[in-house]
Amino acid sequence: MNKNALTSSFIAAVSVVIMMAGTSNNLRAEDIKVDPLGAKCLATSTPRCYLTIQEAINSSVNPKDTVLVERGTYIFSAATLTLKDGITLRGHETAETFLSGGGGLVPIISVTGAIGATIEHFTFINAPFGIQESGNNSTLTIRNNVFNVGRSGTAIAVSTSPTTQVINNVFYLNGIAISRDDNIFIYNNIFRSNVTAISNPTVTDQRIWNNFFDINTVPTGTLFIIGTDPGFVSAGSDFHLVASSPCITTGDKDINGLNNTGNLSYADMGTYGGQNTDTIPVKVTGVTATMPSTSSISLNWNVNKSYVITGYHVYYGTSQFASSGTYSGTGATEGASPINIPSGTAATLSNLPTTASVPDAPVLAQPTYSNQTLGLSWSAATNATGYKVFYGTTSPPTTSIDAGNVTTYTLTGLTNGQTYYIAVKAYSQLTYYMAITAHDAVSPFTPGILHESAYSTEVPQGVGNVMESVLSNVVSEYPEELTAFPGLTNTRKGCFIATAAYGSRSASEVLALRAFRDRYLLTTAAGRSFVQWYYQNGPAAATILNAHAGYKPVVRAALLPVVGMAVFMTQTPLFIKLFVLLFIISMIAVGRFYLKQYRGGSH
Amino acid sequence: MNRLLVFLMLVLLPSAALAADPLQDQPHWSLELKSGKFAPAVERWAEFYEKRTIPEYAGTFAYKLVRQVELGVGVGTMKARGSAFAPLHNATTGSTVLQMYPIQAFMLVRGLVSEDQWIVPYVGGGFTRMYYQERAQDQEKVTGAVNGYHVRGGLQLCLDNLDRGAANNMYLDYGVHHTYFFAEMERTRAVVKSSSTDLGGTAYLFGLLFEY
Repeated sequence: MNKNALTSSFIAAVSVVIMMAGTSNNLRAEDIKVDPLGAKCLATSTPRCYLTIQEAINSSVNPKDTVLVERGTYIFSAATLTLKDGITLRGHETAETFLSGGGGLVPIISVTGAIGATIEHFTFINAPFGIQESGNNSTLTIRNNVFNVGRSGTAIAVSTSPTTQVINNVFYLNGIAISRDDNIFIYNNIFRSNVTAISNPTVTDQRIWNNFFDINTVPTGTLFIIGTDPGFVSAGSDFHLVASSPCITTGDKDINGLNNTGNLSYADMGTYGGQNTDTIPVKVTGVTATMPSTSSISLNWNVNKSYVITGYHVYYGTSQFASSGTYSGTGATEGASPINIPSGTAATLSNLPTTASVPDAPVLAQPTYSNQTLGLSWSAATNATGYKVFYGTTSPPTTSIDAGNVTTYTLTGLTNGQTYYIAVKAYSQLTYYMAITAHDAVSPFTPGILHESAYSTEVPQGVGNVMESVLSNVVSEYPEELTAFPGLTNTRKGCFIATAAYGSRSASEVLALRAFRDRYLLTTAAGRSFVQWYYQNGPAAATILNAHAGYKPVVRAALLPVVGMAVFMTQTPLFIKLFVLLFIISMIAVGRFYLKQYRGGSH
Repeated sequence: MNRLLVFLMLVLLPSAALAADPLQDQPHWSLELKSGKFAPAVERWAEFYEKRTIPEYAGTFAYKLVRQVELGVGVGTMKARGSAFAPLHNATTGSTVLQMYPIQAFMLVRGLVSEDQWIVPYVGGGFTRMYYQERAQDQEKVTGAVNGYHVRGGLQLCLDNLDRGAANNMYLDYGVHHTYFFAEMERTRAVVKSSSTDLGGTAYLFGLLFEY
């Protein structure tokens, strides 16, 4: 490892330590985590980890414990969550941590008599009640959440708990945003598109201030903003504020305090304001990659309209994040991964290394066969990033299909009985994998933590020339219709006599008759009657025919006009049908004319 | 000869403790739940299917005309997975799935002499309609049905005598007079005329019989 690399590693390590020390999401050793999808989520881990939120809460023995809930959707349709005194229940990222009622009939969280508990950084959805607090002077702090429980639900219901604090939340599309029978603290919230913002507004409202309300839903309090648009980035999915929002810096600064150097939005209203907000930006979406030249990649993505976003990071590497756990790309003129993009929503990685090795030729196994289908498999070739299947009725085959990076492929839609020649080529192209993050002006940056969004969806892009192997061995095979054993007949839908006469249910003549039945006979009452009669009597005739195979050529000859008519009716275009009909009518007319002439002459 | 006498005594000897038994009133209905192995009579079966027998699950429901004679209906299900046949290649390949659903109407005669009889022999038989579904790989499903008949016979072991308390509870809670464990052999014949294929076979079944 050279000196620069060592220095970089040291700085990175120190950064992580600083970041971890400063993060509001950081857990103490005695705190608790909830991570149902985590690989090593054990009660013996440090911090302790549980699969459900209630398990984590129940395991708490210290009144100051924090239960950190990982991103995901947690459903409480039957059992409600109950809190403990002093506990802090925190979502990892407000926009990605959902507490759902699942359409059930119980509150998501029920609090009775809990003292000093805090609920923060969640999105509450689809429930009759988001949080129901009652009795015994509970003291609950509800901050920096989004409540979107539905137009028939109540986001927060508070009863006989006057010291409850509802701070810096967004209430969007709820029936009742806050229902209370006491003079609780409600400030720095945004109320938007709720049927009722705060119920029972006749209660003395000296504790309601610095909130944003829709017109007509304003209680008789002091210090509020009335408007129609609080300036969300995207109401319903991203409740960060755009630069023109009236809710920026209009929150209560005295309450939030002025010493908020790590939080640019501490004076804002809404979920992403206040000193305890979740500062992680929302994921970047719409990432696309193209290859304008053989050694460069162009990237584009959707803009993140949050006013605190000051740029993006482009991460790149030659291996997928899922396999390597990092984007460690180097070599682009723009720099090593990650590259900071201070403005705009596009980036270019240029002069990328493009050298790919020529892959070995794969070895193709003898195909399997079934009805119009050949199943292929081949050995994996060293350095290959994909395979092309070549097939055709002559050798060597020329028609090709890009099968992707797989070692099996199924050719379908082939002609039964036709011999096909098949071969495979491996190809190799250097592929880069990229992801984008958004960040604000406060460092340090770490994807998904503090001031940088989690990685966007990863996009792959190949660069450089495609290097192909030589053609594999050529194999030949023909598909054919398989016969089930013991080879029973279809007594419900079969063309029994034709099947017996032609020897297969898939004979073209039988298929034509079946198509004629479905398209013409079954569409009329008379046709259906005939089909019903045939189904009752056909099997017996087929039995006789099977027992006397010598009659089959005779029956085939007898069926010829019927089959011909079925083919004509089902496989010829309409104008040909009309032409033939006119021709027949003309011939009949001409015949009748000459017949008349003949009879007249004879008289 | 001695063994035969012992067997007959065991089968026919009524229990001495019937007087206070709530199971005295006689049942009129019976329900059988059974499963076991079915050995198809189809020729060349072993060439296409890995196992000579396939599992069968069945149930019957019957009304007792008299204590020893009952009329009933039954339904079963069997499923086999095997290989298909490629005529041009003259080879077994790919896959075939065959499912059969026998529907039965039957009469059963039971050698019942006493309500407390330990072992009850029985024979029966009747009409069978065998519904089938057959599907080869990458092809349409073939469905149909053929008529046939079946005969069966077996032995029923009365479980009531093993635990009288449980038997009484079964009666009081569910109205079940007697519970039997039984083993039977069944032969079915259902020939598809067009191909002379017999979809029947021999089944060896075990199960529980509830009389109520």
